[in-house]
Amino acid sequence: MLAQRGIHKNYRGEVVEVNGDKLKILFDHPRIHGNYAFAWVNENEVKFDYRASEYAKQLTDELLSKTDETKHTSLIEADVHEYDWVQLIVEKEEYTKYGVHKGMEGCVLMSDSYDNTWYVEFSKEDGSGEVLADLCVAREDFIITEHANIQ
Amino acid sequence: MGTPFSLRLTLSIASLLRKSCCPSTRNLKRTSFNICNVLDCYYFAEKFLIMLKWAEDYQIENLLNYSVIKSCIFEILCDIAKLRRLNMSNFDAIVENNNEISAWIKWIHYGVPDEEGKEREDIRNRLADLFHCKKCTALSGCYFVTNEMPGHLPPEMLHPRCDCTYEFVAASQVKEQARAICSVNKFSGFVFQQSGIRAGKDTPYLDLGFDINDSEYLSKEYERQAKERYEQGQYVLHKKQTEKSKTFGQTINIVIELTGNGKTRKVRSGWMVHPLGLIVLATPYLGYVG
Repeated sequence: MLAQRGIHKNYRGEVVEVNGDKLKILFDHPRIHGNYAFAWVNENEVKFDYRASEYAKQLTDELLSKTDETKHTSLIEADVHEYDWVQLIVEKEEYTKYGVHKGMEGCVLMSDSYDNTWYVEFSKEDGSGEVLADLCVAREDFIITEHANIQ
Repeated sequence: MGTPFSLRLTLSIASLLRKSCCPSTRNLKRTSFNICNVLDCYYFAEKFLIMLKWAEDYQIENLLNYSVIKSCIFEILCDIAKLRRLNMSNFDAIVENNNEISAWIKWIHYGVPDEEGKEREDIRNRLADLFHCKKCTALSGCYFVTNEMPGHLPPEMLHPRCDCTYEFVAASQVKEQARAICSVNKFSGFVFQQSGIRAGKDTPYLDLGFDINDSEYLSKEYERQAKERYEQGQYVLHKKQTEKSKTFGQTINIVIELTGNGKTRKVRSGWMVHPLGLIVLATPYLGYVG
């Protein structure tokens, strides 16, 4: 059930509510920061990690007071990995002002993302290896043309 | 022009400080003398004397308070360093008990732990969910020299209404904590593989006679040189890093010198700054130097 919602084994989260042996957990995506989801799990399906500081609890309380939980019920399935080769499929000013246009290819240089935008390095097309620009590219703005083959 | 003027300057400062009954006059006098010998003292002299003279004229006792004067000296030194892009190792020579002057700062965003790990990431995530600036929280705990830092000293360090602040850290502390990490995969899994070859990343290394079998040597060499240069402040901010990508952290460029095939080449490499003196290789080749 949780796997269908993108919440997989070893994913970490914070307990925000307890109801008998059920725990409501705020799961954070391990690789896509800013993506989170709420889910009820059984107590015996999780293990204790660490006790949050008072400051962290305050932040969580503040988030809960401002969040519509019904809009955060699943996590994104991350299909992008470090060293994947990707191709830009849009022509947007936020990319073109750095000389990067639709159809150009680049390499993902970070294993994590923020709000499902990925750190992509675009090199000059003359084969020199020199960098044209390091951009933050939204997931919907590129396709993966070649997956990294790293063990 | 340097030494005689600096002596006159120092005597003037000492005279004014004596009038203020400053408790650590002798130390501050010695510090001022050292500063003037190392740096171009005109800018320093002008600023400092204007401040002290103004305070004396208006008999504003607060301004002659020792801690305020020390803070002013730090601020002026940072200005000079920024203007003149001095070799930061000069500052290492100016160390006194309780008067240590450093050009290194630690960026601070309230509430973000310095140590990397689950707690830091969890708090950064939560702060991001609450619309705190991700660029700022990424910088928290990181060390920069004041003449090569993202943004500038307060107020509003990185952007309008920025809540970040800083504290000075000793150059010796940076040297003790500085670490550089370059994964062997950057070479064996990227540069010398299909992804890197398509971008021409292997070109500079093949030219020097390196291949995939040299990946471990290259990674160790990168780590050694990058650590040395970073702890000496010999880096520049990566100019081609876009504002949005700074969400991941600040990238700096460090020059790495490689020798092979009877040739020596200097290449620019990109490193991500992490807290407490750690830098991690992001891209091994940005281009040649020169």
